[in-house]
Amino acid sequence: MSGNLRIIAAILRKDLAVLWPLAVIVVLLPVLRSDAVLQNLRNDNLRAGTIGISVLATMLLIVSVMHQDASASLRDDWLTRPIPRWTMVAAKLVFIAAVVCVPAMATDFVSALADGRSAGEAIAPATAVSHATLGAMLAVVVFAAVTSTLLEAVGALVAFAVAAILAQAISGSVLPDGKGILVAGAEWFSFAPALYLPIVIATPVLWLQYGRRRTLLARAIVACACTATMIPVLTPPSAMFGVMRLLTPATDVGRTAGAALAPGCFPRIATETESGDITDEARRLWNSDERASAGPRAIAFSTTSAPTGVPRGWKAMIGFAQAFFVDASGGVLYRLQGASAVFGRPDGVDASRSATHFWLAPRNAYEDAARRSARLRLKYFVSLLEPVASTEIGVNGRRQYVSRFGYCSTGIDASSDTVSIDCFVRGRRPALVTARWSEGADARETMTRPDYTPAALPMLSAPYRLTLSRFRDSTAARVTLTAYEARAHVERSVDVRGLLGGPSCSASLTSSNTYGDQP
Amino acid sequence: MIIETDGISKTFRRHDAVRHVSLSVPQSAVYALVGENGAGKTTTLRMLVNILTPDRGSARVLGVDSRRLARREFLRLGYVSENQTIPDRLTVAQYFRYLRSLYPNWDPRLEAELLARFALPADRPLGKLSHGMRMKAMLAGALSFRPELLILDEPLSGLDPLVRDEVMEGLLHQAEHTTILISSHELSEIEGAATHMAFMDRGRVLFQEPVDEVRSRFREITATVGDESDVAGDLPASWFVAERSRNTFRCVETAFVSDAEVLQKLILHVGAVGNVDVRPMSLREIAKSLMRAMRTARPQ
Repeated sequence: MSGNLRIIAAILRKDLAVLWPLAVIVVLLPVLRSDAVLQNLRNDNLRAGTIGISVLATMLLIVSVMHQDASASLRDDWLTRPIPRWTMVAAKLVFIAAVVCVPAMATDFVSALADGRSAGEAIAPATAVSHATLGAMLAVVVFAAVTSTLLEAVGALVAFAVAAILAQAISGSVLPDGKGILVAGAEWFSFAPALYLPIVIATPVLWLQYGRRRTLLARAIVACACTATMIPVLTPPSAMFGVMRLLTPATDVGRTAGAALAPGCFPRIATETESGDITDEARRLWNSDERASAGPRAIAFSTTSAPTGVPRGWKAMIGFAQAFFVDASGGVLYRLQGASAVFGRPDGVDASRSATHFWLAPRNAYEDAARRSARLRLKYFVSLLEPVASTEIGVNGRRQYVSRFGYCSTGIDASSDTVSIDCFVRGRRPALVTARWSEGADARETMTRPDYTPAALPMLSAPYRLTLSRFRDSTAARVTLTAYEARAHVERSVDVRGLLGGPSCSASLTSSNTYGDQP
Repeated sequence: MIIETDGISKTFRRHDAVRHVSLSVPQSAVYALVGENGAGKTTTLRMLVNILTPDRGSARVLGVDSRRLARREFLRLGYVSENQTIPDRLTVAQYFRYLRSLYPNWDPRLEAELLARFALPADRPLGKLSHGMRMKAMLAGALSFRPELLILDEPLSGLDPLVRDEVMEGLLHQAEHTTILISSHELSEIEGAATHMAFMDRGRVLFQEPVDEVRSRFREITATVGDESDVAGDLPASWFVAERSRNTFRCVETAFVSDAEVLQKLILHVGAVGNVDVRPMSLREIAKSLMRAMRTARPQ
């Protein structure tokens, strides 16, 4: 055995002799958190607890093994032993791979085989270490490398978590147009720094810490990276959308596409009953903070828009929508509150035919805007998706590989009369996948959440699932899957005369279903 | 020289822990680095073994820049510090098995001899050993590969006298051909072994020389003086910790040449003197008096 390998083996033996109880737990945890076991845990708290304990134990083991021979320490025995510093790093990474990664992969592989998948397919998810897993593990490695005790490492992680929570809490109030993190399909932007920065900084930090023993500089890099991970939280949706536009080559369709509003006064949403109680609808659409900030007798309404100039078959997906009262010169008087509580964002995402959004404004903001003869401006951040592939798969439970879609199978749930389509694609999946029945009159369609991760930035090798319900008497036996890719991200504004859909629409007619007469 | 430093300095948050330290440790010496706690001894030693990097200056250890010390040098260099962190959960046997695989030059017979000599229990976890036993274990771990250079940072601190003697005996017995650099604020235990000595105070080395020379130039002077004698005036720069109590005058002469010269200086600076006792000093006494002198000279 060569010198370095002998040293690595000695360090591994030593670490295992010290940490074996924790190592045994971490080796067994993937089995506990495997689908086979989790699906049998009917208690959600127990499921969450199992996953939480698994993550905590893994983090603790990584920190502990790094701290067995801390580099940021001035006292550790190994610092004056004949151990090349990169050999020490290699020994630690080998330990983490052997105790954390390999058992997890083996469990995934066995679990996939037990699900009836072929060995060829089972190996794909087992060996597809996602960037999220790799990023998270390297983040813990980096934190552990620049600290010398568990207390220091936990302190640093807690400080980072507190900073992240604070950033998240203040972002909504300091950003001129709300929280950027809510842009549909742009989750990659929100999470990319957290996933990729540990991968990017791991080598320089380990080099500085182990190779050069520049602890302060290494810590400064980690602190900068932590700060950078909060940038997306503090990025307004418009800027986030701007980044996506920059990353997507301009196409003609991006220039011609537009949005048009349904004519007439906007449908009114009743926020209070006649006795002054909050209506169920308002409760469903806005959370208590949002309702409280709008105050009593708030103005609430919905707007419906339809895309224009979008080629047939394409999808127009709304990433974010905003509404403002603006004065004659276009200056923003008030930003209305979208209904994020129900949809996770101002509205459902698919605007290929039409999309409806719900808005809430305080009575005094409305009256002030009305006095100034203001108008309503609706701003839509729309992604245009082109269908790039389509395939039919049978509802027969057989798993098959389909180019672009990955390994897919269908399964029937007789109790809910639904068909689930489970797919796994290694690396990046299409930006959007839809499913509909190939035969019959049922035109309903189901789709994945959009994901506009740039092709150069593969994020997660994760399975995706679509559930398609069917009529009881349906005999349809084939499902059509369609894959879409984003071709343009456009921002469109629609100015409405008046505040509620037209000059004659008024909030005084509160007993009506609309704010005024229909045309 | 097996260690040679050239004006190394280290600053921690505006505190100069070590200032322009230049040391020369000859081959085969037992070199005592003496000074009070906080004098900068530990920081100096940590720079020598590349645990810390000097902010200024440079050091060569085993002929290599201390910042470049690597596996090859650490195969020839042992380091033991009272603050050292060792894997507490390993048993003594596991710890030595681990160390054995790191050193191709490990001597299993010497290891066995040291373990027996220090009566280290093979199956006891290191974390459950007493402080003295831990120090013995670390020392055995630093000696068993027969290093050319052994750097010891306060290895005897906190040990009871019996254990201290055992450790020193073990060390000196096994390290005949090893250069030893040992830091201490208590010199009695290496009194007979030290060949060189450097004294540090507030990050600086005040002097370094062979122990024989130190011993030859330091004398404790006690003289009987008359009531009319005045010791408040200027005293020779080579005297320190001078004090008078009733009819007795005491000081330490740091540049002793002869008894006659001492007498001349006493008459000149103290006045008429009666009995004069000029006594050689042990290293421990020298170190103690130096520390007292530095403490007195330090601004309050």
